[in-house]
Amino acid sequence: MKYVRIIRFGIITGTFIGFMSALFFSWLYGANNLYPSSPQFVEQFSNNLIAITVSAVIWALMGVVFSTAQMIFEVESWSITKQTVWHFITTYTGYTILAILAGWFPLNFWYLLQYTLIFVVVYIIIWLISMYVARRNVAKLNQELLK
Amino acid sequence: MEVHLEIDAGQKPMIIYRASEDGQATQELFEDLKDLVDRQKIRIEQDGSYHYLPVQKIKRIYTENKLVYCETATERYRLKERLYQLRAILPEHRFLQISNSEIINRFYLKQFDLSKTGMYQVIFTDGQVTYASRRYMQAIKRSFKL
Repeated sequence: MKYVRIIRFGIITGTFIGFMSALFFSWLYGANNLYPSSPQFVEQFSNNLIAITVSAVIWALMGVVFSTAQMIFEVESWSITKQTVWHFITTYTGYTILAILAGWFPLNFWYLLQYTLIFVVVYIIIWLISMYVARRNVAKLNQELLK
Repeated sequence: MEVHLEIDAGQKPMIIYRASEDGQATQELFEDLKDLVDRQKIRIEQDGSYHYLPVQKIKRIYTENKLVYCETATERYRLKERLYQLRAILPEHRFLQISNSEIINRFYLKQFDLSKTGMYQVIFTDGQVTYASRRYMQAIKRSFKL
């Protein structure tokens, strides 16, 4: 099944990236243990193992958000603009909620605004590149047709 | 020259013409063979009777509400075959799949365009417009040797 494969890919990739980030930051901040997120996040739970388990589930879900969003680009009847906008809405909503739950973001207006602007700029760049590639494809094909 | 016919259920229909040198005679026969494939006919059932349509007359074949239709310059017919089955029969130098639901005759193709929102448009010589899928772009470019 295609969906099973996509979801499985998301779970594996999400958990892997989440674990690697946690490992990296635990080393960076000189911890003597693996911390899945900020101390404030870990304090919410009775022990670190529970915090890691909850984080692992959130990381897996983050992966699923991105892997399933990829299917938006497979909707043949949608234009580049519609695909990009829907991909943005899906990943922005899904990822932002999960990242807040995972304790990755401070709940600070200016921080979230800055993060949102970066997210939007990245999607505008993706849209510009896709449109440029498509226009170039059309020009190349028309050149062949005129021969 | 020998002419062979091989029947193999798993084989996609194909004619291979093997020549020892690439000269004018070889090219002429090759062009004739392509014409012969273009004159290949598909069976059409209409109002309970059958008739045969040369594939070169077909402008486009497309799926609409899970039914397959073929359009000539003037007519539209319902086809019994699925799109992938037709694709295997149709001559590759003439027909081009542009999306999951459409195959077009290149000889009726005038130009490509991109809409403002970013849809690949295919414009036929008679002005009709249809859409190509981004996922088929690589294959389309390959067919134009790009």
